Amino acid sequence: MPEDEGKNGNRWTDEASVLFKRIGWEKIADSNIDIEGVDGQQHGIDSLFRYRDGLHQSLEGVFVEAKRYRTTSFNRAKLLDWVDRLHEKMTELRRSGPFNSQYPAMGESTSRNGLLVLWFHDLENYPRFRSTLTESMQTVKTTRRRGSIGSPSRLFVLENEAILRLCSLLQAVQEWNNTNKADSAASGRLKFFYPSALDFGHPSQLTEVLNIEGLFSKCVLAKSRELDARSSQIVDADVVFYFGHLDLQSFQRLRSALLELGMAQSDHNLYIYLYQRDDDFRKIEPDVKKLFEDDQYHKVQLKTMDRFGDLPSWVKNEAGE
Amino acid sequence: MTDELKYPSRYEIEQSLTEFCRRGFVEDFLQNRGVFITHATQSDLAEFISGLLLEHGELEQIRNAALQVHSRSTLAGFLVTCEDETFSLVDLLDSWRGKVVDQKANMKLGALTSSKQAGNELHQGQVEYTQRRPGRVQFLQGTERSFDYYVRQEKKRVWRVLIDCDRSNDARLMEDWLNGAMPRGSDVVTIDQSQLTTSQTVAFFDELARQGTQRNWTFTQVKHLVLRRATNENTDEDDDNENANDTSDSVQADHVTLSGISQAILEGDDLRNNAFVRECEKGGYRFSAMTYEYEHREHAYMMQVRAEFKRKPKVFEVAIESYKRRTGLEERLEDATLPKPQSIELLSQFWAAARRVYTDLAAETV
Repeated sequence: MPEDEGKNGNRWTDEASVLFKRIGWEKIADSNIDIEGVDGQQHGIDSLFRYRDGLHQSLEGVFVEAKRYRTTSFNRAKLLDWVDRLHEKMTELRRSGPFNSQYPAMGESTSRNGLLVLWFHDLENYPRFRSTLTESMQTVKTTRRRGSIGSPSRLFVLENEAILRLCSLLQAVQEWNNTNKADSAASGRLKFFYPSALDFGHPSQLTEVLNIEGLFSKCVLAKSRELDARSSQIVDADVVFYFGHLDLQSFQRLRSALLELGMAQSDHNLYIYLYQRDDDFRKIEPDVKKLFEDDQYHKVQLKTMDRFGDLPSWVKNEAGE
Repeated sequence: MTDELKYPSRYEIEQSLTEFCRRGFVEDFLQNRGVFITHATQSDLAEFISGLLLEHGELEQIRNAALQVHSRSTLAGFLVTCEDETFSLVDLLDSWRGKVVDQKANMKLGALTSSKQAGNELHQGQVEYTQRRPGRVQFLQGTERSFDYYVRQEKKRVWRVLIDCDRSNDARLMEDWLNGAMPRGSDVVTIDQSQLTTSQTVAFFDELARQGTQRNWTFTQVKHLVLRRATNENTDEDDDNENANDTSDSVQADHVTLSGISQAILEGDDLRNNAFVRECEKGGYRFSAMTYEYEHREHAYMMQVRAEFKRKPKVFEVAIESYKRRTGLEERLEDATLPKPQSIELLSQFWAAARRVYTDLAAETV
């Protein structure tokens, strides 16, 4: 069977839910819901989530479809079908009476996001398969014009690479929070940073919720506090999770981003967690460090994120609870 | 920190994507990352992207798309003819070396070097100019640019000038200047789509598949085909941003159609008889770009060449889209490097073949 629709499929829906709960999304409905759409037909959806977006200051509703699949059974038509069907379900349910009365929390949200979480479980084939998947994604045709029949929707495909990257980010967040837990008075929990936005007219935000844009960004910003061992003082910490390339120009651009977005502050500690691996990075590491040290941070540290080849144990364990 | 490495504001990213990039680029940028936004205007798509935190490489991709900088070598060109037998194009170009030939673009000609290749003399030169900043977006500020050009005398009184374009506009810059600098009785002629009928354009792309490369490369299939609705070809407006906000005037052939078209070319059937082609012709669409795949006869190399009519008037340009090598027992395709001189040589052959096919077809019309 190409798609695990039974036990393994449900298991993957639960595992994906663990990830979304960890980034602060609120689960609105249990797994596998069947509900009547505007067309009077029953529509099944794997799970529903909602989060408060720190960037747009909006409540975002997310329809999640989880698929566990073999790379060898995948083809372009499958992806087109999945995206189309998710879009159709969203269109039917978003304005459905039964849906909105059963899940008023979704009714209050934008309900405009559909997330297809694809897990290709034959991991040994995945690296070679990745380019096929990217090519397939390019061929998906979306309805272009605003105002044409149907509601505007934002559809996202999250697959192995992005999922494992998210796991790495969550692992680093977890470690940070564990390290600083002893110091509860300092409120050392890490919060994601959203810059102020003149066009939306709101100031910068700190929240434990990661928005959907964060899942597709090369860089995630966060802030926290920590106890400085030497001075026994509480120090502010700026934390950057960086998934981009490790060349000097990329870091110059990153430094500029921290300044432009109002993230950088002198006297704070700056931690940059790197995701990519590159043997040549050692050669430029001192220059990269100096680049940020020139901005008068209290301390600058470059750290490495763990990288996973498979879902980490905490995802599997929490899903089983 | 140089201005070029400054992180742009959300507004600048949005403006660059909405005002200066093609919608197709913006859609591809999102879809490559697994993002599909329905019922959206180009500005809606741009707004989403501006909410992402992008890395240097991604920002460069946007900047290059907005400034129409090609990511790979693209060759465009024209023929220069002169009635005067004593005239030499090479001497004319050499006489301008080191001088600013166009004040507005700050266009300056560099040294011209000559070499013998297969008995023919090939002359290579460089042009520097300043690209004007489009709009007020600082992220896209003016930059110093340069391009190489190649001159070869085809026969008495006829020279072939090929430009290794960073931007599609590079060839026009050179063409415009030469048009003014050449003596009376001379002419600059391009491969201009408006001189071909819709059906001749089909024949042009059809023939090019077979004649574009020399014997050591075999045509295997058509990878992409773009058709555009025929518009008033005589409009001389600058269409660098052609269809920036609208792609309803272009269609791309799907996989099934492409395999039908590849088959027809391989079997030597006249493409003009293909059902899809006929349908498009009826709907007022013309071929505007085709990507061919070729395989090397002796070595395990494959390349994709994109031939395209761009800008108004529709002028022909050609680029190597990809160059790959089969490796290992599984014959996995991996990116391979094609040295610049070889890629220029391949593209020059392709362009020359295009010119031959074009001349033959255009002669039919007369």
